[in-house]
Amino acid sequence: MTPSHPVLSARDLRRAYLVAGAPVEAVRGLSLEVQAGEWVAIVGPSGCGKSTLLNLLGAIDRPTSGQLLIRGRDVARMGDVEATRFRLTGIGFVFQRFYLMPTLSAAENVELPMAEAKVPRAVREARARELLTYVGLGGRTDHRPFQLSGGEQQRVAVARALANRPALLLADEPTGELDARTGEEMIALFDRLNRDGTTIVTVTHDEELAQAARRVIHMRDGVIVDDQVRRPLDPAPRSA
Amino acid sequence: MLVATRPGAAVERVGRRIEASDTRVSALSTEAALRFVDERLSYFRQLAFILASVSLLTGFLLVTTLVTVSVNERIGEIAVMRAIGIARERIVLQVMLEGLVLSVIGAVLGLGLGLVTAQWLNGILSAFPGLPAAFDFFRFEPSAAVRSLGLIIGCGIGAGLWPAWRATTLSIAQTLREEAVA
Repeated sequence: MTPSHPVLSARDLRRAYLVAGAPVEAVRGLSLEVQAGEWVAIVGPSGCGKSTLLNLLGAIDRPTSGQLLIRGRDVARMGDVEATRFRLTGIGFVFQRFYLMPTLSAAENVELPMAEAKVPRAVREARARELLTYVGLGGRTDHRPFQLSGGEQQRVAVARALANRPALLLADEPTGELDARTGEEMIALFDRLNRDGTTIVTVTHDEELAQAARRVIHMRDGVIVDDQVRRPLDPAPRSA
Repeated sequence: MLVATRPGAAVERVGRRIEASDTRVSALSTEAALRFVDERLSYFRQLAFILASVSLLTGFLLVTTLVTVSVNERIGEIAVMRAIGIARERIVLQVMLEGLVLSVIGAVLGLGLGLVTAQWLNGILSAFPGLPAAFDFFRFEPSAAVRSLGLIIGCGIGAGLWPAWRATTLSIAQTLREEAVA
């Protein structure tokens, strides 16, 4: 994928919920384009619609109206099976709570999406080792989540998110459960990932994480109120 | 006192003649005796059927509860699995497998415990005075064990249905939001 190619394109995206019988719009006619290789941080006060937007971008929720194209595919019109498959191969998720499978080792957790995508065992084992080494856990592949610190678990979650080489990495408050030092390490990891070509969209309250992103979008009441590019795209990012 | 008749003799008539010869004696043909014992045992069979049905229902509800609790505890984990692209069918399979494994473990333990208890009770009951030496109150029948195991496996699969349905019909976005708030 070359830079300046839109990975994501949202047009007049809306998402309304019924609250006590009355529709309440969490996202109100939002339009957004994210280029390949960008790192976008979406910030804003609680309840402004950041997480709802991330859920829509990640095809785990459907917009009430509007168009959402990811790599040219209309995500909003996908059926459940198609959306599930699309999430498996096209999108990587990192959540605030790492949500690793407690009975699986770090490597097995990373292999999980690849196993679901029917990647041959030898290939996925090698990829899991490669990814865990990339996130700095090459020596902890056989450790279970309870044997890892919060920061290490989040690194495994990042490696899991990258397993199927997604076009887009979505992260919802990835530093939310981490202490300051571990949070900084996570920001450095995201920075490295982005420099190596991964397109990232993060939702965060963490000012440092937002500052590290190339582009910062401010949301309020379900709409974008500010959109700033802080750092332009690198001319030729390496493949992540 | 055992009375043997010639082959083809009317056993019931012989019995009535014996009873008529002495009013203190009651005569019973082997066939009638077996029928009598069978009638008495049918009460035990009915009791055993009721007890087994109640046990099965209790086990079914228990396994359903255990799997439901397990699903509830891992609801965030399941939502994340769905979010990262794990198919519904795999989650259904995993949850139902959980119910099945619990049921099979219970069945194997129950069978072992049942055999030991039956043997112990048989030892006590068979020692009652006046019973024939080879009389058994409990007898292991492999076909009954296989039938019971099949029934338990069926119940185990059934017990996982509701929690599996719950696990796969959850709204991923809503569950993740609730988990984040929690």
